[in-house]
Amino acid sequence: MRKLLYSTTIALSALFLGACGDLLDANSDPGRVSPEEATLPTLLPSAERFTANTQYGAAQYGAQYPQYLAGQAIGQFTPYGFDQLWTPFYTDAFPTLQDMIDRAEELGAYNYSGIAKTLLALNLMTVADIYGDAPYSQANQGTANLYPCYDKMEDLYRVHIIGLLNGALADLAQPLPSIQALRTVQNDLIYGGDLAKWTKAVKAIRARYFLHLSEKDPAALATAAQEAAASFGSNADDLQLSFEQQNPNPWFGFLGNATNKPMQPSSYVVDLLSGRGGRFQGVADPRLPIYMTRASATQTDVGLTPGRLVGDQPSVNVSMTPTSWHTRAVAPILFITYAETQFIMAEALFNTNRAESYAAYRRGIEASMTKVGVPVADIAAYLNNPAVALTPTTLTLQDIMLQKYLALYMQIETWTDMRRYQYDQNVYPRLEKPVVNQLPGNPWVQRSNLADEEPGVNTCLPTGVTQTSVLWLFQ
Amino acid sequence: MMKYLLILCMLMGGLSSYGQSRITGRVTSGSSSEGLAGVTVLEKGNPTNGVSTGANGDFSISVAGPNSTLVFSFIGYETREVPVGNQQTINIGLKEDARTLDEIVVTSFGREEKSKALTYAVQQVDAELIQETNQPNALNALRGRVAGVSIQSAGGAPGAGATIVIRGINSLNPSANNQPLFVVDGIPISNETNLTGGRGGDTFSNTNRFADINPDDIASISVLKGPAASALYGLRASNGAVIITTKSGQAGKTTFNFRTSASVDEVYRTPPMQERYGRGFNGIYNPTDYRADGPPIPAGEQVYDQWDQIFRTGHQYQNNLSFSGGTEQATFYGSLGRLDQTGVVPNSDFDRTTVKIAGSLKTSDRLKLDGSANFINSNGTNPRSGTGGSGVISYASRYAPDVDMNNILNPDGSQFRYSTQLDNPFFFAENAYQEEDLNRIIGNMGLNYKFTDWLSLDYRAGIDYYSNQRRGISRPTVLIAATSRGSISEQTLTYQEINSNLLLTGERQLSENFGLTVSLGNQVTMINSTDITGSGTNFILPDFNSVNNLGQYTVRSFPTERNIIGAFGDAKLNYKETVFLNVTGRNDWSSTLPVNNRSFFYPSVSLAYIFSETLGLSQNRFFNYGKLRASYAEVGKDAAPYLLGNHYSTQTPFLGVAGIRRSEIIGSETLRPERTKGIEMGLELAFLGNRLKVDANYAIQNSVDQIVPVPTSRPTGFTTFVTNAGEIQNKVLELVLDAEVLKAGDFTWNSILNFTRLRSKVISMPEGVDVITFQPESPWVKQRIQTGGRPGDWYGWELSRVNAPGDPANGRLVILNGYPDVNNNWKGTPLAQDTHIGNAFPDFEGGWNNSFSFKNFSFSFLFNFRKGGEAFDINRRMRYGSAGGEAPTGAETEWRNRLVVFDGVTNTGTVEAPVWVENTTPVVIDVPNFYSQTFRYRLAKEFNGFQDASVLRLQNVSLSYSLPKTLLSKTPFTNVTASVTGNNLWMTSPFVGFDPEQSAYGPGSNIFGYVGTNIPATRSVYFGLNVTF
Repeated sequence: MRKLLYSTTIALSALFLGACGDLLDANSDPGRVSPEEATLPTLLPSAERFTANTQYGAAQYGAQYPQYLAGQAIGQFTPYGFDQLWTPFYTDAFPTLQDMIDRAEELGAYNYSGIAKTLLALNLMTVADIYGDAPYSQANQGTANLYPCYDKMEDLYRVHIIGLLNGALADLAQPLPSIQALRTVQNDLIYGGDLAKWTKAVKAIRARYFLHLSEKDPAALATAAQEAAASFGSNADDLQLSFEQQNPNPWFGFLGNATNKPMQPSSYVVDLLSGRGGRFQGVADPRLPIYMTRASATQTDVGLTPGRLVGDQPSVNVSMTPTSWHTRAVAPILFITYAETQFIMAEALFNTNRAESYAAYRRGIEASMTKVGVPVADIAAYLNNPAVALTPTTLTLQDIMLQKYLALYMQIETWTDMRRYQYDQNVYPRLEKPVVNQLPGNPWVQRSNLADEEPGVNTCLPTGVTQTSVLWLFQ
Repeated sequence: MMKYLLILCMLMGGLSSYGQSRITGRVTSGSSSEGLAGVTVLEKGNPTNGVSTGANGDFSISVAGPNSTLVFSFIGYETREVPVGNQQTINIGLKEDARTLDEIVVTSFGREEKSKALTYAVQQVDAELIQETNQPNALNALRGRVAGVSIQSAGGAPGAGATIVIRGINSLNPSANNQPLFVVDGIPISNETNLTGGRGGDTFSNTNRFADINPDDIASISVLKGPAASALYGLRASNGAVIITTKSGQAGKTTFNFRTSASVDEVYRTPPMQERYGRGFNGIYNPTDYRADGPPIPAGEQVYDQWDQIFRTGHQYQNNLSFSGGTEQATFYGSLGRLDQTGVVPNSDFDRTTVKIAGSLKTSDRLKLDGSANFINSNGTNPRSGTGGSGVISYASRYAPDVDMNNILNPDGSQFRYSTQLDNPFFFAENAYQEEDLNRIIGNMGLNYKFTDWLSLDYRAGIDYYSNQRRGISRPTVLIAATSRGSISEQTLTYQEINSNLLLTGERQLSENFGLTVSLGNQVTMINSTDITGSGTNFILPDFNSVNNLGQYTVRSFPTERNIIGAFGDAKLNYKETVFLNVTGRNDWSSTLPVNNRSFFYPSVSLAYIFSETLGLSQNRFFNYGKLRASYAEVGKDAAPYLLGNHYSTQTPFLGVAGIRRSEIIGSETLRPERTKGIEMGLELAFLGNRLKVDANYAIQNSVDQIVPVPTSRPTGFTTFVTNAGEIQNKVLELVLDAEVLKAGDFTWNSILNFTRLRSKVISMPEGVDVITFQPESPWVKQRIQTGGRPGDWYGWELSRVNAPGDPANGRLVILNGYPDVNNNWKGTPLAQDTHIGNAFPDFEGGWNNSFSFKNFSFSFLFNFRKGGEAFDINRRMRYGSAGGEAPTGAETEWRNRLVVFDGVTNTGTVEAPVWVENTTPVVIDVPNFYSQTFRYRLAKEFNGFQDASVLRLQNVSLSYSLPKTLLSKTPFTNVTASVTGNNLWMTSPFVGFDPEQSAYGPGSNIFGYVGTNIPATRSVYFGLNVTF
């Protein structure tokens, strides 16, 4: 018996002593991927999808500020920190894009870094336009900097965004990488690895950038027009991410297919589309039944008055449904489109080359309508309607900006346009503040609040931020 | 005791004595015919003449003569004196002594120790107290019985779990697991609560896994409260330990025990609902409006009480058969248990089958082997509930009183839905639910080998394995799954824990005065878990309950592995059985920490001094026992697996391509173990020959270097940084009074009161993090953790009142635009500037148990109480928002949609120099203004569901009657007992709503104080029969 005991003890000790090292080296998760296993072709599709989430996140509630949609407390100008933009950008899109840039530069895969810089510049500009000052140069450093300070909006514009855009152009012009497997860009869900299209996209974003910057540097207007002209040639070039039935567009779940819809089209956009707005009066816009679903084709379409909550106004009879163009399951999230570049050109050349401005205005309308499937005959009829057709001399800035407004339906870029003109009634006729305005002093909203996530976790916050302070770009 | 020691010394010294007449006999245990080994038999007046009984209770002693008296004494039994007379054979039975100071208490590694020698706080609860409650979850049976221990059940859903917290929350992390280690027969088992939706989940009341243990198999439960008590168990016991000893076979006649009970379960406490107004809004009738804010319901029209409709009577049927027997060499125990339960809401049931066998074999005087195996199978179904509003309770609380909830289907078979915002609760329960089934095996084997009479080795290895299958179903016919067109999740969880404990114990009497026990041990723990979840959306067929019915699905796998190796030593030195010194040290190696930090050592030292012994008080009639204890201990704690550094994870496929991304969580590469440091002081006193015993305990425990997922600024690229940060201090006062109030003839009355006062404080926070906010119920109330605060601190908004001492308006409500103002909005105070309005934890809590016995009757009742602490009734906003709930005072319901003038004052001056005049502005009391969209009324803590959660509860009442032995002697039965037991029979609380002690967030989370959305707890009355033969 004693023998048995001793042998058992020895056997057990041997088992445990021998196994000790193995037992303790067991802290790597078999269900996850190590940093070394990550590759550029697997990061790219994530980065593109995160960019879509970022662009959608900016507009999800933000689309109430340019009065595309109405129906929630945010539309009554209650404080809002755009967390639907902040988190997807800083924890998803930015880290993934920067990761791609770092890896691609190390491997000499400038095709990938060019794409990543393009998308990062696009997203960073959206962030700057909404928050003004925002972390960039101290951001994305993990534990090396847990309290990233904010870069000035001016520095974001004059140094970082343009730096990325210049870098993107340069990278996309570089020779293909020597590593065979990286020579073709794989898993590119947007352009299928077509670098020429990416180059056009950079130029489109540059056009948007210089148009914004022209608020500070009027000379940038000409550059904006040049870049726009060198960018997209048709709707086929649009920078956008399409969705699929199994992974529907986020608008589909949020509005299109929602049982209790949190928002409805606002009266401003509905009035404009149905010929009852401040411009294009009496013209029934063929995009209305495509943009939204009407309760009946015979009734007058009524949108929700900004400031009212969904359900408060029983006369509202249009809504976003699974068949509305932007809230379909398979709808794309639009980052920047050919139509927008045409309106950039129209605006930029309005005072310097009216003929070209007018031509771009018409191309913009046509592109917008073609994009959403308006029949050719209807497009022609619309463009020939005197209220729209105009002439180079009768064309006004109002026409350009309102047609851009309609073309960029549900896109957050329009809010930047409105703030560039400081909600000018001459540019946006009949634009009114929400009937319920919860910000003191009944102001227009100028920017996002500080992101709700930030106070309490970042010790380097800007002070004095209110939603009524005018951002540097718009001052 | 002194005598006993002397005898021991003499026996060891080989002394013996010789007398004139020899007496032989046998000592048996009073309650059975079993012989009692080790009983001291002394000749009175001659302390040097004594012997101990042998294995069968036999003894032989020589005494001076017929005038001698023999004294029989044994730990746990009443001492008996027997005059010798002319007897040569004395066979006696010793009666078990309920009121001894030498109770045997089970401590670490299943060691049985005399309570007298303990140097730290342990409280033991015996089997009968657990079984008499009939609670299927044994953890609930501990409620109110142990000082320093707080137990909250997650509600009345069949199979619902319970949370146990020993000496307070000790983590800054709201979702940290604060549960103690559970040990069954020396081997740790899992008490994990795998909440659906992760820790902090609220949609289903999942079971805590300790509830798998059949309460009928439990012999006793000891709670090791502080780090000194649990130091030997190492890092997994840093929150304390619950030590369960299960029943084992007894040598002697084979006995069978059959216990059966049936219960009637009912919801005993529901929120008040209004039955005055039907569907509509602002007083205008609209049969499709989800709000009950229409015009008054015409007299004579049928109204329905929501709770009467949705709640039904539940039942529990418990049957348990056990058998036990054996010889001196081998014993055997077996049991078969079955629980069948139906819940108080539709589509809610649970069953559990347990099988246990245990045996031991003594192959020689040196070697003893034992083993046990326990198999558990349970199945349950519960409808979805939870805080989100899409739950069976939430829908019921929002159902308009003029709609018949039993009108479930339209003629075409589809759901009858009077409003697009609400599902019918019955329909919802049948179409949004979770099914679970579990198979679990707990087994262990042990051997004990005595090398010599002072050195022994104990080796024990055990396995705990379970596999838990869950299927969560939301059919497309319910609102929550309408957008996704139906969703199903099939989850398979497995958990495997293997433990190996080796313990070498040497026990020597060093000299006449000093005794020493030294143990050296090794413990290896290997834990593996898997979680494979297939889930998706888009039903293909309407009623096919399988992930195979989905148009879109994903599968995810989350395996974990955690291994711990511990080596420890424990030395106990006693001086004259009067002073006890205990020193322990343990080193752990954990696989979850960085290589450089994964080995860590922690010590404990504790001392007990029985000063009454020194003072010679043991025979004092009034004050016979006094003991002081003091200890200092540290326990380390490792991290969860895979927290270090950063990794990447794969994304779900999109457009045919699956990408990867970097995780949003980054863990410090230099993570250190957490430490809990505790000082404990205790005082035990006994009076009137042990009729009154007092055990007071004061402990200060600091949890430092906590491993906390610190929320980070998003621009760092991460949401969470896991690092060592922060410190929480818990100060706890525990008091147990145990009295034999009355003993007269056959009547006894025992009373035990326990009391706990806990104060927690956040000493420091992670750098750069001022505050960790938990606000699932934004914007009503929030909980904040911040330096200087207390975990569970509530923040919110109060009604504004005039603060102008001397002014006649002082203290009156400030009225702004006709409505009561909140949070001094009239002064421009922003909502961000809120007020500390309370704490989720009570000022003190405790329990008071009384047990009476008279002849064959026994009767007991247990009150438990908590004073102070606030809870937030989440359900209130659901009932108010839809206007179905009775308003706080009832008056608002009475006056709804009418003009009123609020009793208060308005400011006609400036903010700086206010002038208060009586409010005369009439305003309309309507739903939009009061309960739904505005920020005005619902923010005020006076109205929004935030309330004092003090409770006095009659937790348990039990009455039983045993048939007289004389009656049974002609039958094969040795015992027949019939009983009636009630749980939750009565309670009183200022809280309006469901039970305020029923956390909305599941067991295992650190979130307390949010209540009102689970399937409510029940009042249960059990009828039971217990037969032994």
